[in-house]
Amino acid sequence: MIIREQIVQNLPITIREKINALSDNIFSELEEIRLRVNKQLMIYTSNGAKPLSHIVSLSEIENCLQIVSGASVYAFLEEIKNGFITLSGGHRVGLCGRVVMQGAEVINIKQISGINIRIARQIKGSANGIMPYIISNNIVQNTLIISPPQCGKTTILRDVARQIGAKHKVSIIDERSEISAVCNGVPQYDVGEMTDTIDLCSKTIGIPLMLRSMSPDVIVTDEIAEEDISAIKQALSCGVKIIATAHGDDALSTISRIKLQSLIEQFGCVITLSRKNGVGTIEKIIKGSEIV
Amino acid sequence: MITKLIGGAIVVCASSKIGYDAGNRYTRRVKEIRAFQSGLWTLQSEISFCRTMLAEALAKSSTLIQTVASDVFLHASENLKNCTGITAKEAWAKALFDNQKKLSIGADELAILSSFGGLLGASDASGQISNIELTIAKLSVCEKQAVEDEKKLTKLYRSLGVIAGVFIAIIFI
Repeated sequence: MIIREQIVQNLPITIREKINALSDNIFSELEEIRLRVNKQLMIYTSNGAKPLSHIVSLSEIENCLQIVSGASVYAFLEEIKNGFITLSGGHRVGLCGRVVMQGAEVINIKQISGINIRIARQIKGSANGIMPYIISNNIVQNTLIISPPQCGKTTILRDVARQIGAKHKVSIIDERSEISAVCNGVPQYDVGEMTDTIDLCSKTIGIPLMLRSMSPDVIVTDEIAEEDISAIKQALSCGVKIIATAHGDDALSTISRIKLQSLIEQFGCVITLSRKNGVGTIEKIIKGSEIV
Repeated sequence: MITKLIGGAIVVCASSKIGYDAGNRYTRRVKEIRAFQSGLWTLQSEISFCRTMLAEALAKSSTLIQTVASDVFLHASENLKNCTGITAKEAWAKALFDNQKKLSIGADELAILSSFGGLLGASDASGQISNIELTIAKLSVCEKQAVEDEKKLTKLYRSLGVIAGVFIAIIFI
């Protein structure tokens, strides 16, 4: 019921009525609410898309943006540039419209024509299956979690942070505000008692910054790429453990693509996930030294 | 005769009070226009330098100004905080409407402030700042006119009140 209130209070009154009319069963499976100008209001559940009998108007989209931004669109420009605003509860409002560019940089998204409200649900315990490998002999292992999109990497990483953050100083570098879902400075997910989050900061800047400022035992970050390797190397050379994810199908090609070969021996745990038996299926857990 | 004199004195006092109230309205109008301008300057600096959320920025503006204008800023802030699903335009319009009877500003100033609410909170910082600056500039023009009216009409209404009272009292006596 709390999730329903968190979502509904951010909708224009006319759309609010439609969403409030959904049964608890449908709402418990709700994944997305999509508003598109002059199109039917759509909801997406685990069973697929379902149109609701309401045509979304431009003014409803504008009102929705105002409501989710607390009538302060100007205060959310950084979030809008990234294409989404995070709500209380960790829910994410994705925005689509006309992008204003300056050089190669997005400086604003105007004329919003579509809004996608993604409902967030934290799954505590989702990392239980891999925790014995990540904390081996009471030592946190450098860990890389590899999977294609939509296989539960971030959900599992969040739970890893929560469980390690109960005993160790953890710093999360949350480049897309997905792990902690910080809203007004407060992480909306339980990411651990001893966890600090730097929000909307690139890994190349965030990792050295957190090393200097928060002296973490463990750094947790999402979707590492080739340009992040030097920052990861810096953290490893300081004796700080890294737990990261990367997009990919299999360990070898992913490690080769992100140029992690020179450091992979230091990773005590490389986990591959898939959706074979549902989201978060563990395909393989091996040591980095076994890959080389 | 004494009764007539007392009655005449009451008429003079009542008429003078009406004249003073009518005259003071022009003084209050000038003060309110200046208070709105001052509130808007605060709002502008909060948005420009701190990117403060609108509800907080409006509340802060209200604490730094006097007159009914302060109530308008405060009520707009409370509307945003308390009424879920409300836009800034609606919150500002409701605050203006709720305080309209207490305000001494004229129809021109009210129209300018209503139009200001239309763009409130709906754009990036530069858009908000332009909207505020435009509103302050429009209010400055109104302020000049209001000051002239105050000079001309305040004394006139006050004198008229007293003279009308004396005139009525003489007729009765």
